[in-house]
Amino acid sequence: MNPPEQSFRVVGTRPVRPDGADKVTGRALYGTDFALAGMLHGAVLRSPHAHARIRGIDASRALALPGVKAVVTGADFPEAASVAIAGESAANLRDIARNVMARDKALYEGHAVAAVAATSPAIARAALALIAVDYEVLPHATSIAAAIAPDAPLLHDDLFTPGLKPRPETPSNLALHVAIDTGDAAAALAGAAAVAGGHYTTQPVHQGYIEPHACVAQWNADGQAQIWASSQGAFMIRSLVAGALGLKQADIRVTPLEIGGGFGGKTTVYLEPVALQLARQAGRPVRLEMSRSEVFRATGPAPGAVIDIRLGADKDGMLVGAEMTFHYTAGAFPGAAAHPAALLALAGYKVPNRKITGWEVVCNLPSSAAYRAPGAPQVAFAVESCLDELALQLGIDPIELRLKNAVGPGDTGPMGLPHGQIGLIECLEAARAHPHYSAPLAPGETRGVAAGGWANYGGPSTAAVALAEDGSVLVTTGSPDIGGSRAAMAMMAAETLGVPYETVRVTIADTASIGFSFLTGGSRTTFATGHAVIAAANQVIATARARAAQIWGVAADTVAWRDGAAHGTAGDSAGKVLTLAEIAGKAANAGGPISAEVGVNPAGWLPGFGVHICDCALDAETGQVKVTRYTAIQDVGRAIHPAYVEGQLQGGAAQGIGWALNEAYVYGADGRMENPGFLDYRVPVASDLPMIDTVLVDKPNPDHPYGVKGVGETPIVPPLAAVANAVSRAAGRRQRHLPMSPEQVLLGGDA
Amino acid sequence: MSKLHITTTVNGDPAEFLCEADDSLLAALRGPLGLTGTKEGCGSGDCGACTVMLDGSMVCSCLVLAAEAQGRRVETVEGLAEGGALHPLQQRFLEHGALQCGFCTPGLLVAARALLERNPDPSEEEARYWLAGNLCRCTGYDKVIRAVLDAGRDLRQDHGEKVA
Amino acid sequence: MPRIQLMRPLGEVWFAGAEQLEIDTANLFTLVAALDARAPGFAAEAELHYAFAVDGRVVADWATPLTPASEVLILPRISGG
Repeated sequence: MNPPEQSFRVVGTRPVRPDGADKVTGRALYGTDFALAGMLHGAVLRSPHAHARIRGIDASRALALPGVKAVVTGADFPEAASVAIAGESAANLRDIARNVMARDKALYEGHAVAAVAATSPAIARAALALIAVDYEVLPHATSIAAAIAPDAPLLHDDLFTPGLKPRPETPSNLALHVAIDTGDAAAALAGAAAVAGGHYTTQPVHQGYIEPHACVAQWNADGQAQIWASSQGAFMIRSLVAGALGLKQADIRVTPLEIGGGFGGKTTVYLEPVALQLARQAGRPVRLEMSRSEVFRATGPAPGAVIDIRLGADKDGMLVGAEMTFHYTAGAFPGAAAHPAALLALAGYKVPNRKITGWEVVCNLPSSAAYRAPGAPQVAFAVESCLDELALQLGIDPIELRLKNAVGPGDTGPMGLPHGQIGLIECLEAARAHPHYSAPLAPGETRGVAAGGWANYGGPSTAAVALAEDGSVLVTTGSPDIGGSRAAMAMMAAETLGVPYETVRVTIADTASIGFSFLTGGSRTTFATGHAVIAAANQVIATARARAAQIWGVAADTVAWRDGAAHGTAGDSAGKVLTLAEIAGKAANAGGPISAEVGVNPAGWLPGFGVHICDCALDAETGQVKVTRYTAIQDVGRAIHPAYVEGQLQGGAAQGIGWALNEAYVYGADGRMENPGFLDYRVPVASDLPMIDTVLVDKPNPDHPYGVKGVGETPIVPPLAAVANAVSRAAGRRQRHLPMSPEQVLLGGDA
Repeated sequence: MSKLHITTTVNGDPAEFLCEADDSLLAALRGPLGLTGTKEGCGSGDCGACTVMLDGSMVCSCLVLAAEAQGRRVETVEGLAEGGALHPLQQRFLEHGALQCGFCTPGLLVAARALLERNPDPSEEEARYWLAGNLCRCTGYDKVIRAVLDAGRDLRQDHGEKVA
Repeated sequence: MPRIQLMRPLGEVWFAGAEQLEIDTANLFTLVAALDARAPGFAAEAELHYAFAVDGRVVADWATPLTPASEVLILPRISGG
């Protein structure tokens, strides 16, 4: 059932973000822009080996260097518990603690083994060279094949694959097994009129945020600490640092600095516990920041994947069965999004018989981290490529084929739950009707299309709304603003209160100044923190109505609220109006200042689906692929700020195009990353891309007051196959291996 | 080793600072000069976040020695707005939503101004190639390019009005 | 009695392969406590890693009452990046 049509004053407009002027004038303070008096500069010593036992570390020469104030190694960190901690669902504390500083073993090239703090960056770097680490180099495995081979070097001798019955008797590098088995996939495929399939591979890719990780930490003699850092969650930093170092959460105050991109990669800690431990030892504040090379070598890429798939359809194009086995690289520690991958692989389609088996594989790569729709793009690449093959085999239009099989509201989703008000079918129809889809292709150009979706999330959030004495409005949240969410919060508050957008200002507060919020991730902030802002604004309205009622001497329920003012309806008050500003001005004599802080954990988030259309030109001589036209279509529920929602679609599409064509971690036989810089790890630049057209399909979410669905992650799911389907048609050969470098397109083909 | 004393001009104002011989101009701007608007994304000249003008030429300040600023003119993002008024590029970036995280924005703005000074009426393709050295991971460049082309239009109009 | 479905591999991990259980209980808090009594450690894991759907909808409030006709699905929680 659709909610009644709503009309809006603010929602759907395109005002300038409240933090905009700061960010175009260079005034906004990001991770490395914050400094304290007397601050020391830290540096991290990283393992040159992909896999090595640390027999001992001698830091005495480093400590003797004038200007060096502290050195820490794994021995300076407590043994963290092997549990996740409240509020952060994906985090295993013991693994995170061992990732930020190696203990007995270095598990990848770039793994931190020691850190120093000194009076200048140059002295800190010089001190690193004086730390002697006694390594016993061990055999390594940087690929899935090497890590699951019978004689593979074992990363963790206490890792017994979870999810297997019976529990394995020996440890292995298989970190997780997931399985979905519905119906009889083998029989369905045997009876299918057409079957597409093959062996697909993708490489680890980095989120590629332009701002390297950075933080400043300060430790006081009374045990209270402060951390200033850019991340996707100040509360995430608080809980992970407290857990890793055995501190009370209230003793750590984390102030969020502006974040220069995250995309999932800043949903965990790397530097913060180390900086705080250095500050504790040195008795002075410490700044730690990463170089670009450290970002590549030591922070989370998205998993690489090996996928074997068969997808079958009857002669009319109705999907009958699917079999898929995938392996994802988790890197040094378990966790590679195999669960969402298995659940989302066929989430958009009605496939009665499906057998999906997924494995996470630990190997000697940096521990993988979330990257926009974690787990989904790799399997979608395989599924959407197969759909393209089936369309060609059966002579059915690719969008028509998807429409025949697409799920809609009420259909059962992969988790066994009925889908709510999802909009995949509307997106496919919008794609079919879009001028791009019917535009003639230039000679040498081909067109690919692909769909994809993401689960999205809700989660706990807190927001406060307070009235200044003049009735202007202050909104406070704990959700870092990655891409303009301050504007969305201000707009939802303004809409709810009935006041102009410009009278609302938003602060992203530190962890001591607002209640808990889960991090900015999972496409949850506008949905969940938005819920909290709207709830707090509604409490402010309730108070304002009660104050107006007192002033007029009538019952509160006779006072209506509209257009930012209380309107009397009963007796003498009928026709009387008190604006929010007037009520705020009388607040001191009417019971005190008006504010509300509300914590929520809203249910009812909905998955987002999108459809992308990609035109490519392939240079048959060089193998170079140029994307010549691109359109991203997505069900966004309702866009609070359409320009910023379009930006999410465009940015996700660009990242997906990079994943498809250019980006990959390259490792040598020595287990070392060969391309830890933007010169050799090539993200799309302006001249690589065309304009990226967008269509925002509005299918409002009935479980959000303004119809919001998460939008940030879905746009990276369709592009891999949208590009590959176009290139496959151009090359006359199915492209099953990413990235589609010129060499791969010309020589690799169907490997 | 004693530090070098450098006298230079930053955003039109005289400035001086002390630096080591191997300090980058970026480090001097962000450190002793306190101008943290110029960002470091890579330190190797690949991302463009540290783009500034040196004697009217666009440079990656991470690849220029601080000592090379001696006697020369440095222009950074902090010098883009005139008094309290935003430059048309800044205004158009805001209106288009041409920034998400905003970290690459200072470098993009400085580079885009250099483009429009040389070529007041660039084509989309010219803008894309001129800005190809400025990585943005958030926007996919669409709104960036639109903002730059619109700002060029604004500047041409302003210029036309002044001439007329 | 409320019917409890366990998404794979949760049944294998905690309840000797059972994919469906019937437990007479008032809400999700009491359900989790009952499951923890059968499989010690379940509650701690559930609080952090699992999502609960009641009658086809994921719920965030564990005080949601269960009736004899309720169907509860326990599944891994997906948050994202």
